[in-house]
Amino acid sequence: MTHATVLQLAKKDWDLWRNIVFLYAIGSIIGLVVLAYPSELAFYSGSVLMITALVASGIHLIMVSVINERKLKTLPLIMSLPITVKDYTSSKMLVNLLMFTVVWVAVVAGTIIVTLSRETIPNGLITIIVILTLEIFIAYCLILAVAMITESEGWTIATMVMCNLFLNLFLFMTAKIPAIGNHLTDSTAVWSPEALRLIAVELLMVAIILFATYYRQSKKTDFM
Amino acid sequence: MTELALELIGVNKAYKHFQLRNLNLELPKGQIMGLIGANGAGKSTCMRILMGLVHQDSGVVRVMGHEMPSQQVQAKQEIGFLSEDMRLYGQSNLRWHMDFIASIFPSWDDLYAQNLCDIFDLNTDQAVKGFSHGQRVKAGLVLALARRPKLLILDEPTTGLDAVARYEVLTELMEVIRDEENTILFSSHNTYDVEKLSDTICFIDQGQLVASNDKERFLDQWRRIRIKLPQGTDLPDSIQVVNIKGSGQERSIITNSFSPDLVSNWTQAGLEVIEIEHLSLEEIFIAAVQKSRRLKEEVCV
Repeated sequence: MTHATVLQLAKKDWDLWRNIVFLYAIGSIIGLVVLAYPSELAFYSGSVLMITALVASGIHLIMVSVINERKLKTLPLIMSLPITVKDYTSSKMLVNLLMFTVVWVAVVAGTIIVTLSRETIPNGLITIIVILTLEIFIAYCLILAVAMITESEGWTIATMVMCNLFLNLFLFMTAKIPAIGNHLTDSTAVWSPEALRLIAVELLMVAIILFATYYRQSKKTDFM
Repeated sequence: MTELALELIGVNKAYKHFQLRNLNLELPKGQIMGLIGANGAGKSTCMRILMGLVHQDSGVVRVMGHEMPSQQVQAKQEIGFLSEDMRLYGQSNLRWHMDFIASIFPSWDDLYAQNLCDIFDLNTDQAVKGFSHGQRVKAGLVLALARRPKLLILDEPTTGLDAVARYEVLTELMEVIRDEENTILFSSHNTYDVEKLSDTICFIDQGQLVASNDKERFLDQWRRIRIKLPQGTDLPDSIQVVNIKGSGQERSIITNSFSPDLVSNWTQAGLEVIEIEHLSLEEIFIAAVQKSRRLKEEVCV
């Protein structure tokens, strides 16, 4: 593998799409400011704004950097470079994960900081915030995987819809787990074995999705 | 022994509705080969196999001495590739693209790139989305040529260009050709472009190589001959005919093996040769494709 070329490709995508990252990071910060305002309405409005910014940033980045590469026919230019499909996959996964992680870390860190610093928001929410944002990270990895493997706008959009529908169901089901749901209003975050197990499963799923994508891509014989 | 820039031996590739069958092709270094075929003939599939973007089902592919697709990274370091469906990033300018390609190819010649931009009248600071189709093709050619590749693979480079842009692109390619170190493979359905640039010409149709020869031999050996048959006689079996038209005494024959001896043999056999015409490359291509399709139909029947 040509590591230097992979990094150049990733840098190229960062140059092209970093404004989108900053745009959604700003959206998340606005959500945080609203969240920090001491009222229940502000709490829910800020949460919705931040989750929307996080989910939308992932969708937007995948559409412009993966789907549009093929749709707008810039892929032949990239594949004329001394790279293999594996190199292309590595660069796309690297830069997409990096760009999304910027927004994700901003949202997670900001939410935790606001929760810890505001007496009106119970610290017990931190556990479910981490679990929920990790679920959004899994959904992002899944949409990225589908976009990379199928190269289809239709399948990618269908996966986005499914993931967004599942997000609400996931939140509902997680809150119903007594070891998690019963501690949401506690003054400290409770890391029960059930919560830690769920987080471990989420991290494992991220690793499996990324590995499977890379493996499937490396087996492709026709790329254009 | 002649060094080969590219070599395809018994290459097969099957899709649901298309098959590339037993493709054999050799291009010695320093030569220019034109690949002519109708839309969907298999030119782009062939180019993609050569670039390692599509893996052949069977057969051997070597580009600049490297096995494809396994050694595509090494091979593509020596290739400049341009295809008709290649686009640049619309929101970025040409300078950004040049810097990006330069960061990957140590052989990038920025002075030459700038010189080409001047020749093509390209504004390197203008966003590419404002370029016309002709400007986009020229920009793609700048990015391919300034890498200083040893092999240029051009898939339909002149398709959709207006007359002026086509002239400029062809002129620059002629300039590149002057350097005898360069090898070029380019495909087109425009026989005029191929005739202007190529040393060797290949016709491809329905996934098969129909004919391949030096340009001069093609133009020399393919002729249209109008003959008059003596009353009550038919054409001798020995005549190598690609296409025949006419009825009664007069016939118009296209042959791919013309020689002065052929005419004297016919005259001795009692045929009256009325006229011998050169064929254009387009006429040769059409005749070759029609013959190939006829033969296929006969085999099927």
